[in-house]
Amino acid sequence: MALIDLSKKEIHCKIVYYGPGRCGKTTNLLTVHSSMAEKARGKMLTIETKGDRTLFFDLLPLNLGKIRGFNIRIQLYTVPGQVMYASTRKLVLKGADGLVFVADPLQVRRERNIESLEDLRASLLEYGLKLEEMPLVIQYNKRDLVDTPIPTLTVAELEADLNSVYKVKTFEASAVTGMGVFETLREISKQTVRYVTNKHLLHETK
Amino acid sequence: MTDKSPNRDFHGEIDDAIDNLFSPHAGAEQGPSAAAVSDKPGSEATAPPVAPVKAAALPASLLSADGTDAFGPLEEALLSLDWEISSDNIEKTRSALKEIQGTFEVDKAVALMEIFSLMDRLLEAMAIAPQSVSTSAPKTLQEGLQTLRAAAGAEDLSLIEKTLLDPTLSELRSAIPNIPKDYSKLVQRDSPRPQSVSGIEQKTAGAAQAATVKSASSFTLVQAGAAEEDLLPELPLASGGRAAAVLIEAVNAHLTVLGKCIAKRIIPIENLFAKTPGYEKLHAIHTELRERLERQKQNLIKALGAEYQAGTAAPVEPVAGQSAKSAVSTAAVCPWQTVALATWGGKTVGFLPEQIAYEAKPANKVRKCGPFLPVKKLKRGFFSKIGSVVQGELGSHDEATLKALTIPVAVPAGTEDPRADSSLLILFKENSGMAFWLDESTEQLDVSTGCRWEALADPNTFVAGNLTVKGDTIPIITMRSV
Repeated sequence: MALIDLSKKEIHCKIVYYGPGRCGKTTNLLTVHSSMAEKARGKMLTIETKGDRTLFFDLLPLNLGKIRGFNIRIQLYTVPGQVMYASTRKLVLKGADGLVFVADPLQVRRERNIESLEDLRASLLEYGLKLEEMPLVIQYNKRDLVDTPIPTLTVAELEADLNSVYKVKTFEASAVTGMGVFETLREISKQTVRYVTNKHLLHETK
Repeated sequence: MTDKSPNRDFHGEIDDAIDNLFSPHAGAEQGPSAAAVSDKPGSEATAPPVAPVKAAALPASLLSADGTDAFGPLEEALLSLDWEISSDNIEKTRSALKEIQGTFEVDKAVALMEIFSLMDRLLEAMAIAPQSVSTSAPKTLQEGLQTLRAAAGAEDLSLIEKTLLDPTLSELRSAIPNIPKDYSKLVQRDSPRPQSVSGIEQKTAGAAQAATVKSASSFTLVQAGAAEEDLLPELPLASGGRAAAVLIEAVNAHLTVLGKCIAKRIIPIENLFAKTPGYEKLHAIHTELRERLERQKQNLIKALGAEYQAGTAAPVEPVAGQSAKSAVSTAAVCPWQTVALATWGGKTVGFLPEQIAYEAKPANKVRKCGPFLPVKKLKRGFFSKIGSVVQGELGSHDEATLKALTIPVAVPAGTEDPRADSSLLILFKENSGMAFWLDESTEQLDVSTGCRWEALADPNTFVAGNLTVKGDTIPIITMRSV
């Protein structure tokens, strides 16, 4: 749930990067963090996990600046992708205003992508939310692997697996090189801020 | 249309702000190098796994015909595990680890036993409670693998003891979380391998849940399924060595705890239920529970055979012995001090004296009441009061209530109208009563000692349970069971 403070004229939106383990969610945030000017971003909160796996979540606050007097802030979260952290994932998902589903293009992870998207849908349903009604963008990550001998899925296959129902905007990306990371973030930010302001602010200011 | 326009402007402003924020010249500086990202701690970047440090030379036993070493499958399994901790990957890693252990020379295998054991315990912990295991656990296991590889190639283990073995042991020890062990898996019939933990744990929990549900819904169902569940499982033969010794020690410790629990927790409660009228069903459930646990205990003792260390259980044996004694006496303890014996429908039955509200040979008019007895008919004369005729809980009601009260008459199978000399007995408790035409009047029997009580759980019978007195079984009728 977005936090709207009318006295301070602040809007906080929560965007969650979701996807199977090792798909590159944290790398997306690290790329954003390292590329943003300091005035626009806060400190990235990431839990040190030694084994370079997300245990709880990563958090990166971004400041969009003022729009019509409202200071708009976006908080980017990731969830732990491993199957066993379902409860943590669900907790992080609570109150999400926008979602980025990061898909892993490796052939061996095909089932995991589908399971993770289904997990996302089911978790949202438990909060009374429908995935198809929320701002959602799908990112096909690790496209830099396409030219390597590692077996990867084509975009068509990924579309068929993950986007045949929701028909949302998709982006090819390579989080390690930065390709597509900002395109994804830009789109989901727009969708999310619109969604939040439509849902809360415009109704109140009418 | 008119109010959409401001919205469109507003959305336009949002889009501009976002585009501005994420444009290269303003907020975002796009196109970071891959190295800049992947060097960060906590990165999920798919960095290639670090090539393991190979030992100088491996003995022939650890090399296959095509020159590949025996650590390959374990290495592969550990990489998969690092990718994702799943039951499949854990199983694969455990079997690969076992295989490696078998290929080591005997003296080295013995010397490295603790590393193998700790690695296996860590994997076991991952299977039982993955959330409690540190995310660095797969890395720790990989370190264990490197140590094993180095040890396999080393001519003298003492040379790498301080530099490699000790640090690895310490890492492995600290990586294992403190998870309470559930040795119940040892008696799971569905466990073909004692090492396979994840599935077993779930089955154990499932079985426990199922048992709870069963006991809550239908006690008789539990009784029916209990015998089958309590069968001695086909326990795998423990292989020799330290692992087996640890297992035996664990089972003996489990037996000790089991004995304590039965003696100190279950039997006192069982005795309490036995002595409390109205708790016959709970008493029966508790008795069943104790008996099942004792059967499990016997199963384990039988499986251990000569390895059963009575000494381990010795501190609790007096209690356990007492418990066994108590167990017998529990079954023998009658919840009541005295019962009123009578002949009803040609059979000797017992009633609880405190529930008897009326017993006498009433006037003939009472005998013609049929299946329902108006209590007012018990009046002895025109001016007498019903309250003076009845006693106990029934006698505490006021006269007006008693006059309006009608009590059903229990008719034993195959009997017709009461005989002219039969006595009428009324049981009354908690605002409900039942009348019985007795063939013979009651006589008090002291049942405080030397009697065996077995409660019945069937709510559709008059009989609360059976009392065995000097070899004779007497059904006891209580108002609650009626």
